[in-house]
Amino acid sequence: MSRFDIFREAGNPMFNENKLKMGIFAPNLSNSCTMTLAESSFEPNFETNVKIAKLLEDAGYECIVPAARWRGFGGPTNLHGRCMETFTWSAAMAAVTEKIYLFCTSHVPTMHPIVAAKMISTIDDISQGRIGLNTVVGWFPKEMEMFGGTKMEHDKGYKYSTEWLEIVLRLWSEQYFDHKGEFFEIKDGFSEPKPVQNPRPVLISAGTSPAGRNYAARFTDFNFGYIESIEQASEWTKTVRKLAWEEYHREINTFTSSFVVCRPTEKEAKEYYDYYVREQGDWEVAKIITDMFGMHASSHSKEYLSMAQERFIGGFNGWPLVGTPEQVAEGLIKIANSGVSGTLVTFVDYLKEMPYFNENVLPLLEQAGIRNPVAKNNSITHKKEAESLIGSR
Amino acid sequence: MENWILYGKSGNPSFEVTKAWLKNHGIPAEVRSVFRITEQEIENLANISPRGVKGLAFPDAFSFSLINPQRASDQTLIDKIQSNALSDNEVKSLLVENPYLIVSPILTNFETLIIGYQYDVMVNKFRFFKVRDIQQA
Repeated sequence: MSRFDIFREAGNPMFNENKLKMGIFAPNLSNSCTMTLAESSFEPNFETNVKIAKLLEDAGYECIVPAARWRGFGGPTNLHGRCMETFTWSAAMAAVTEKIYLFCTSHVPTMHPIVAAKMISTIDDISQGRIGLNTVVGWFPKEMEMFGGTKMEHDKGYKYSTEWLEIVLRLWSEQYFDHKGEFFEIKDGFSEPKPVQNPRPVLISAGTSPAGRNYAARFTDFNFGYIESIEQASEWTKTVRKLAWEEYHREINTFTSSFVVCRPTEKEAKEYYDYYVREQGDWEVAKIITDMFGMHASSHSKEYLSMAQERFIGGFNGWPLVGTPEQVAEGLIKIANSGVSGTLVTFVDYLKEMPYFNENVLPLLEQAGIRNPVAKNNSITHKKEAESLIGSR
Repeated sequence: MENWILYGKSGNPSFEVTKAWLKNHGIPAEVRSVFRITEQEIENLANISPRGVKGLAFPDAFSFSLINPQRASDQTLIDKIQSNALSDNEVKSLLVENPYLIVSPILTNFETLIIGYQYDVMVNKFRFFKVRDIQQA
């Protein structure tokens, strides 16, 4: 039985029958994925996150992926300046949700693998097998400098991540081992509890560089990445799968991110897009970030840079889904047909925009056969329980 | 992943301590009552016991009486076994019929045999111990 079969048999939502898995990205960060000064009720606090999670569970989404951020990027929004730490966030979310799969995002240089392995196992117990791990090396220099060092050179970062994750995997599967590597020395390594999940928590990583893809292919279950076109999404998925199989005899899936502006008419959707991206967008922070990704005026045309910055403002470089429910559904169906197994969706205002999306787009995905209808259950009870938990704080 | 079995009898302090040690050190082992041991299992254990099948019985009447004070009359069976008055087959039959004559705890993976609570042996044995296999394709 393959690793994916074991996950599937265990009822892991990340491996269910839906051709297109869905989740949301970064609800723990100020502004989430949008770089805008446009008005929004969204707050990266626990109360809002629990409400969003309940919307997701009721609509049958598969996962929530928080992002790890230790300081803001600057600009008038100081984008992501406020961020709920992801291990503590997921532990709390695990206690008030019951179906959705949660992830922790760990900047590996900021945490010892023994601490991370034990925290994940603990959250796995709290969530009864619904926690996964997203490992990131860290690409924001000022953030890494806060920890007393410098951002690691790219390939060295992946060497560090490799050793870090190997230790975590041993802590999840072995007792009393020694490890002596380039970055860590473990004497008589031991960890309890072990994860509840079989075979282990789901592992994900983003990274499209050769080293990043190799790391994903060697260790993870999903390679996350942004897509440039449907053709490129298809090619990326094939390439990563081929790499994983040929080099490591492993299966792997891909997962992407999209931003959504869904309105009853195309005109309304485009007007809102113009408002929050072109009028109210934080172009300063968009420039800071595109500069960090090496997109400079010297190497790209003004039009290309402007388009790239719009995508960052719209949803942190996510795939744009702007239009009517039919148009948005069509975009999602194209992603599913490309071979990518899922997408995280982001909104400017989750609580205001998601109900419309859930009510009008998800049924179209069911009609198209890329998602199954959600079995209605006693979600109202859970919602009340969650509300009472928050209320008692 | 290795499969370890712990044979024992409730009320035996060494069995209880061994069981607790395994649990608290995160070493999974299947716990079986010595009263449910099969002839085949006895044979398998005898094959890896340095003293053969006799090594599976209590070593003397005194230690037997400490764990089985209510079976005073059976102490003579232990004497018979350990005095070499019986053949291996006879000892095996005796143990099959009267499993309470088997010393406990017995911790084994049918390659290694650990009889009694042996702290140092367990500390040395359970290193680099695979609790689960997470390297599947």
